[in-house]
Amino acid sequence: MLATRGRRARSRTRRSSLLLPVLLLPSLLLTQVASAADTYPGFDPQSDEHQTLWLRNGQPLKRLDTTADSMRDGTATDANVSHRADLEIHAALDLPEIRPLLVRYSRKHPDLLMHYVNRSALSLEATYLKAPLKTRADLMISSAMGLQYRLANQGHARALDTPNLLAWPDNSRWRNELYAMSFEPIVMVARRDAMQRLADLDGLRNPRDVLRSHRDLWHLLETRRDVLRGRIITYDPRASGSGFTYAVSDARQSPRYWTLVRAMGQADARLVNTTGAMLEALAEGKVDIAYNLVGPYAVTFARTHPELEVIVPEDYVLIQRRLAFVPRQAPHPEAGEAFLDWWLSSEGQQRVANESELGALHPEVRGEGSAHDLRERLGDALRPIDIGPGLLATLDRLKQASFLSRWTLEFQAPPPVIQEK
Amino acid sequence: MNAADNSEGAVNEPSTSTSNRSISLYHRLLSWLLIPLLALGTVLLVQAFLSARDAADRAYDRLLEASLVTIAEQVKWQDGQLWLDLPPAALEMLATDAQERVFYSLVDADGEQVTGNTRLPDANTLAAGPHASQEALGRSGELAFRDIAWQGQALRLGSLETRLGGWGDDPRHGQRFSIRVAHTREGREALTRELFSGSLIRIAGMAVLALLVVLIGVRLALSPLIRLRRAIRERDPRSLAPLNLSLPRELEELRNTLNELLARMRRVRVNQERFIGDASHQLRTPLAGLSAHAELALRNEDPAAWHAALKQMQATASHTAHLASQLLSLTRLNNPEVQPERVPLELSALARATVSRHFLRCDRAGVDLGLEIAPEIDNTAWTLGVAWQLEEGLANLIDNACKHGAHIVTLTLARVATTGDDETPESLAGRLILGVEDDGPGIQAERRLLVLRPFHRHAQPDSETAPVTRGGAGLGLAIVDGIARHHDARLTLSDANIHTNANTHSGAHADAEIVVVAGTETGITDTPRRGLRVSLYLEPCPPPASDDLEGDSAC
Repeated sequence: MLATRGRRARSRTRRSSLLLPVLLLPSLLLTQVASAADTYPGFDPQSDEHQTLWLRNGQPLKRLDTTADSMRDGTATDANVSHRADLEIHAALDLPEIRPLLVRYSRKHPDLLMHYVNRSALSLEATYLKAPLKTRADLMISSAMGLQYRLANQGHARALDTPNLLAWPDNSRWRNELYAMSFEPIVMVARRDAMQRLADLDGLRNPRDVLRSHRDLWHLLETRRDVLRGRIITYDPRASGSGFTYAVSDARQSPRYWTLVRAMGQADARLVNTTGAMLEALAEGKVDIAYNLVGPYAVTFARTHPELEVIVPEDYVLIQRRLAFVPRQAPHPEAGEAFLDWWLSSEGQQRVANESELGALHPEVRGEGSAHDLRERLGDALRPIDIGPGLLATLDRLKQASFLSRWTLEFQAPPPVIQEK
Repeated sequence: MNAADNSEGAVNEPSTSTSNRSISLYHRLLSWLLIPLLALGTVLLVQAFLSARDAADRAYDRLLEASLVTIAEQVKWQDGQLWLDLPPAALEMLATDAQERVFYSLVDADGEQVTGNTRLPDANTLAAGPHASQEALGRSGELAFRDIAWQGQALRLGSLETRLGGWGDDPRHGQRFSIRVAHTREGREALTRELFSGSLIRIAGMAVLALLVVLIGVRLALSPLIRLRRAIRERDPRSLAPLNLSLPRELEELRNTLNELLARMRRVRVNQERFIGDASHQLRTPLAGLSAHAELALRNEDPAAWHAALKQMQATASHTAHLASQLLSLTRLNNPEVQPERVPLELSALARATVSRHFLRCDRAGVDLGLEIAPEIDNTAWTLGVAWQLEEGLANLIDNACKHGAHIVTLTLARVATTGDDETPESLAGRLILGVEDDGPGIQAERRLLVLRPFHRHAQPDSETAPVTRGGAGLGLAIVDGIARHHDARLTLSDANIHTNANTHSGAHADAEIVVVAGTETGITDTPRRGLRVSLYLEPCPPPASDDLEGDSAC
């Protein structure tokens, strides 16, 4: 299976290398990167589900959504030129998280016609790479740090130089091309009733003590496998880019991750592709515990679902940062840069902290919703995923194949034979 | 206002034009020192840049190498193909502090890409380029580094050719593969700039120092010249005293030359002063005589005495006039700027004319004036000359001979034998000799050069033999000397040994006998009458074309 996929990828690369000289712009690297679809068998590039939002002066415009079909391939046709936005953001960031900030920015610039498109991270990259020279995106935001880094490394990102961007902390950006926009812990979510049950079983007074860390999760799975059978849900790293990134990062934290994977496999954990799906399953009562969720999404969802509790692990917390860049061939690069500049300004960051759960990275922003606050509470437990070429290694075709085959092996390992005394 | 401007312009213009025309020594020295210095500085800078880049490349190539080796260690055989568990550290190593873009690729033995984020070329096959460096890494394979332009970016590419370890029959053992990694050059360029700016500062410091040293050094080295100039300028314009100041060796020569020139000028001036003194003395004596005669005559009542005094005065006046004319011609001869052009002329005709002009006067004075022309050159003795000067010279010589008590004066014209004569030097062979011989007292050999000076009275030591009344002014030989110089002729004074002369000049025996007899007849037997022969050796010239011939001979 792996071998045939490898051959297919090779032949495609060769074909595209014939086209390369034709497409080459002197300053733009157009190396065909291995398509995300090759790595993630669960990903279907044809099913381009996306949410879209048009804004002018803070007011959503519904009429323009009719053009969504023609944008499917990411290129504009003559027919809808008149509907071209002044600022088009292509993102892998759910609308509820960012909507208040988009509206605020739109109010600030009343004449600006904004268009926000939300896709899955894999679909976002695939759409962009279909026609990088004719992209409509003025800003690309994605939670898949590796994919973003790979695009920037290939030279798809524009070098930006506004003051706020240049002042941005060095460890939260790569060169002056790729900027971290958020500070999102990867969390666990559990149903309160299930936690209460488990606490009762263990005789714990405080139900929170049941699940505070990765170690606790593993311990629960080992000791209460029958209770939790089919009641655990997490990402399928074989089908989800984010899930894969978290899995790789978890594995890097400790080799005991593999025992956790095995334990989840033995407990018949359910596998899905998005945080949203996990939250819905929790809300519907189909599962009790969800592992590795995007923090902001979970917190937002839990606000309206009091039966859920968001658990930030205490032993270590993976931190994902959404990376943004302005494509080199963006139709309105200044608009994209201005938006990013506002987002990273102290004013924008204050809004981010107050009006979203994305986490403000700005070193001067304090209090709830800021990275500073999270650092104070969790200290050394924070494990931000580095923005660096290590991300490229996680995207290596062979490395992914190795990792996923091991993951599958561990997940499908038979439960040990328990000898009853 | 306008006038001031004009005058200023008039003052400035010549100074600028002179500065344009002549390059100052200072500027010349400066440019000879500074232009090579500039060239050297440029070479140093280029070299510093190249070595800085080389050092940066070497430092960063070690990273490429480490990354390649780290990756190579992770290559293995799995699932029927080459397998790589890419270590993230290997890529992070490449990214360095400069956050370089990094690229890697693993290529199998057939050149097929196994994995990688781009397809990189092989540095080994490209290694012919200028910035390639290859190293053999022993058993682990071939390592090569190279700068490439990869899709619009300058990258440094490193590639490692090696093979899988293991042994046995399995074909996968020893499988060749190639790892290629590349990163952008920003870190290298930053390091190059840092290293280069260090050497730039050092070189710039050295350049400034060298500039100062050169400026000061040239000024100091040229200061003796300025001292010399000042010393010359501050001298009394009338002074011809030698310069006395200590100077470097090169300028000492100049000072010595100047001093020699000054010494020559002092001698010339002494000569001139003496000449003027002599001339005024010579003129004063007859004028005083005239005055004395007139006074004497006025006191006398006798008309006969008046007559005698007038006669005496007339003789003195004509003598003075003769002296003045001689002074004039000497001055003319010594003035190099007004020299008449020399034209071809025939000497035998000139000699005959001179003799016939002076014959009567000499005859009256009891002197036998003769002419002797070698027959083979009669009428063909052409030379370039000025007729009146040669005639004047001959007249002076004849006069001199008469005044110094000669009884026989012979004008001779002959030619130096072209071969076989030991006495005449080679350079004079073939020259025409125009000479005047007399049987007078002659001049001692050691005094012959002195008599060529104006107012030198050769007869003074033996004045008893030369009556003062007949004495000339002492200018005759000086005039002849001037004429000889103008004609590029050689002037010789020798004894007029009639007997030996008779051997060389055929047909002169009778005269020679007479000379000897005449000498004894005068009764001055105690002094040897060696006689004097003055000869002008003139360069012959071809006769002019026939149409000119008549005009010249007529002259």
